Amino acid sequence: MANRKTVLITGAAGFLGSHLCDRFIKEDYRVIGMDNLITGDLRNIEHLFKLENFEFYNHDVSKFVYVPGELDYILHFASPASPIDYLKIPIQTLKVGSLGTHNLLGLARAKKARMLIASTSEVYGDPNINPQPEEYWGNVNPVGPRGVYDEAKRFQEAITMAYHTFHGLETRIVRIFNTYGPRMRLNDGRVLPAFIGQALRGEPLTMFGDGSQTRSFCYVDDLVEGIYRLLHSDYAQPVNIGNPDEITIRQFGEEIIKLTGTDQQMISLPLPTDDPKQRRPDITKARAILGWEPKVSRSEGLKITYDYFKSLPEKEIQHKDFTYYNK
Amino acid sequence: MAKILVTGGMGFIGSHTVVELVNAGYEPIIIDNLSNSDIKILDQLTKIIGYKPKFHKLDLADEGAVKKLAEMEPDVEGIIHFAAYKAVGESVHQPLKYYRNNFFSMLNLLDAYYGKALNFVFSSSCTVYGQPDVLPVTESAPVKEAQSPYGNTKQIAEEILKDMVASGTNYKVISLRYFNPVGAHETALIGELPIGVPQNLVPFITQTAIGKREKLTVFGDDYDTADGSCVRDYIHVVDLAKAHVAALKLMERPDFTGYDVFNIGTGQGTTVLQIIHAFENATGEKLNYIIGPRREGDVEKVWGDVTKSAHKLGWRAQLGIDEMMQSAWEWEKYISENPLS
Repeated sequence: MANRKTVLITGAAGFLGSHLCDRFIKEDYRVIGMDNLITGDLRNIEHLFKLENFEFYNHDVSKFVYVPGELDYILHFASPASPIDYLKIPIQTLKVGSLGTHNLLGLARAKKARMLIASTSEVYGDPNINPQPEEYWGNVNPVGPRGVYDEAKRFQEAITMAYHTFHGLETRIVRIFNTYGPRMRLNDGRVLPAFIGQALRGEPLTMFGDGSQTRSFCYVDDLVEGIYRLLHSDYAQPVNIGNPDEITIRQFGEEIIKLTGTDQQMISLPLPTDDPKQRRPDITKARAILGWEPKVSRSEGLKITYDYFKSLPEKEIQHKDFTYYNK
Repeated sequence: MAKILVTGGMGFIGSHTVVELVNAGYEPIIIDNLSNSDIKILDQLTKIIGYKPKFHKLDLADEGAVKKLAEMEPDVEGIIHFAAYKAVGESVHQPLKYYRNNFFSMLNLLDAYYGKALNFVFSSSCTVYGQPDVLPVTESAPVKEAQSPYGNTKQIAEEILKDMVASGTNYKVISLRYFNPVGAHETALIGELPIGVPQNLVPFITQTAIGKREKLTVFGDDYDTADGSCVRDYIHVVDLAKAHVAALKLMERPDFTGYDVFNIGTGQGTTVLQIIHAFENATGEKLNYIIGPRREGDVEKVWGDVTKSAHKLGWRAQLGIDEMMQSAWEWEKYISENPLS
């Protein structure tokens, strides 16, 4: 127990943060979880609360973060991450990506800890090349509605790289593409939970535009494995982690309808501003440097995720209010 | 809103105190390591108070964790310190575990916030009186030699707090000596959650009535009491919770300085058999009970003099035995139909 490594995971009660907590607990780390629960939900980690090597602090990392004692790793996963969230809380989104990252980099430096930041395929904006390699600089509208998230993450990468080059801090940057799995919020506004929720409620599936825009979905266990490997690698440049298996939204809707065994129709709504038309990771680097590639097929992953959503209490499935926060 | 740390805030008394703090306009911040409580209580509290209270999961016996806490919650105005191991029998067999946990937790907290002007409420116990020579027992009665390491942690903790205050710290401190807390919140959403076989009378009664236990054993009917069974001062947990608010209010007054201690009971003694009959009358349930031999370590009779609490704390118990029994029974029914985990 004395030899346990300690990892601080911010955004611990969120979708990805909670799965990372699980993984590091499984690897016998001492895990310090932090979350201010604006979009996170304690239910995602309540199974860990009985463990003596799991601590949790309800804390906003945009404010000063102090951790006495030794700290080996910091994983910064705190941020609103779906458009309906960051459009509602744009300032917090910018602060957690900028001030929060700054605070944690300072902490990492004081502790000589290695810091991994959760960046995103959103740094590529609405890309005009497909698939997107790490060298692509992106096509982002800084003052568009998604700018608060995209630019926070781009700043986050910049300051992290500055700490790396200027202070010699050990840093890792993962650019996460669309990820799905249990513990996503049914009403977080993303296409996958939205479609499954609609199917479970017997409603038509709403796609935006003609549904010809593409996405690629990575199952959460694959993502966590990629992050775990990246953290323990010696590679400080950004690495894409995602599943290159690309699909149009229309095809995806049809897969969901088939999976749920229902006979819903698909209806079309106008395309939102700055909605990316295509998104597909180039994972050449992850393959070469981390020996990583996704293992879980969409059909397997969707089945697990669908079973999870189906197991939720009826009133949660019926709950469609997108203004709802787990607060 | 003044922030108040509630250590052990997911526990029986702690959770009820969280509710009363909110009712009184405070902002409780719950600290718990969940070693003897359930995370689901947080959802139950949310249903009662209308929002999810802030919660940190950490072990107060871990000095580093408490330092972190103090950095993250620098602007608290008070601490109500419930967190402690509390099983008398276990403490006899694992004294070091009890001394380590109960002392380290309190000392780490006091150290982490040392120098700040804070109001500190300590949960003590009538167990410090042992078998009192005079009844009802007043706060000035002598503290008797502790019968268990658990009881000793309460006595010594009181001494530590008194010494600390005498040394001229910015802390104000009140120790509340609880008599026997029973009952549950009127919503039946929170209550006592004994793990395993209950060591306390009322949970044993309700579990027997609902069929979780076959029968209830009354430990001795040959004591020198009205009907031969032991006498205790049973206090409704909601009244008890309110006493903590009263203690904070008293310490907020500029004319209160230093350290004080109060009995928190009803001032009335009730025998075990009277409790059983009160339960039967209040709920209409018949209890299967037998008379067994005395249980080692039980004192014969104890009830508190609550004059000082009434005068100085401005607090007095409002709820009687019937309300205690009814609410405990409603909670038992609720938790049997809606197990938390």
